[in-house]
Amino acid sequence: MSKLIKCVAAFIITGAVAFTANAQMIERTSQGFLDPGIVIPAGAEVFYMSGKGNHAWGEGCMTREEREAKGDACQPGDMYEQGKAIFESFKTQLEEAGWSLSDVVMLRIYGVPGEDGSVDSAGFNRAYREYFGEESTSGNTNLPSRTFVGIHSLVVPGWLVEVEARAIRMPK
Amino acid sequence: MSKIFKITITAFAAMTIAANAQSVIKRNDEGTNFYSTIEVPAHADQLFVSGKGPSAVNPDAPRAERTYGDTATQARSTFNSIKDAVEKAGWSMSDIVMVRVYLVADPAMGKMDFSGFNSAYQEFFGTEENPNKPVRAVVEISGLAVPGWLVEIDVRAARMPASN
Repeated sequence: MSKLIKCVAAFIITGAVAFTANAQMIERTSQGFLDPGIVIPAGAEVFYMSGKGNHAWGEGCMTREEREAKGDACQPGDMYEQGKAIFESFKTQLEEAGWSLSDVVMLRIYGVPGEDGSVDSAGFNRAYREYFGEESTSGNTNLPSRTFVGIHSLVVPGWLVEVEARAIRMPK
Repeated sequence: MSKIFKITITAFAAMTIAANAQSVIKRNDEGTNFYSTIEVPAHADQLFVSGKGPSAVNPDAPRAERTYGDTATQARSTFNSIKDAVEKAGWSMSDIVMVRVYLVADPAMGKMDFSGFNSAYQEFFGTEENPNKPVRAVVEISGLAVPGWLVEIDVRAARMPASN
């Protein structure tokens, strides 16, 4: 009997050690504008999100049919407004699933040239800074790694930006 | 002694059940063609697949004369090539959790043929053979590495390791 207890105790201790070893942290820099490299330990869980443009067109412009009927009266906003709407939507989506904006490790940003022919990355970054890093007003100071590419166009006319986000965390 | 055994076994069983409960890939907020989000739990296997494009409609022609068809034809060819790669690695199309699509304007339309792309896409996802759908992003770019390519697709697959 005492042998069995020892056996069980040894198992529990081994288990505890193994558990501690698993409880590693995601290593972030979280200084500056973006994180140049985030280290994800084994055993992390991943949250994939579809590419997102601004779906917050406002009252009467929410569906494709409404937008086609109203024409120019429906505008998806400038780069800053579109970026802000996208991040707000990511935030909601993550939180609804029990995740947080601070779990985001990677952003892939596709910018489209506006009427002046240039991609308004400054406008986008103004929105970005409100959601990531030290100047954030969203409650999240973590920074993701990110890539920003200028492309030809997006699926929805008027979209100046689409963002893909990936979140990763260690299991709770 | 037998009591300790029972407790140990019960604890084991509880741990196993708890572990299994978290070991499922969860797809949220289903749309016509894709999910908004997909949660992949810890310890999943992952398959990274290089961006793929279509095969030529006339593969025996000299390189400069090869053609690839319209967007729907190219997307179908590309997904077939992805299917081959995924299955060759011992995986299935139903394991795909992310699809990233780069389209080039269809010369006849002057813009990307989004509905042509979707018609081919729908032959591979949300079907009887593969009811699963991934998260997705589609962007239009100016050009791809191979002249004539209108489609390049990048996928990621994840699955839980087979238990027992």
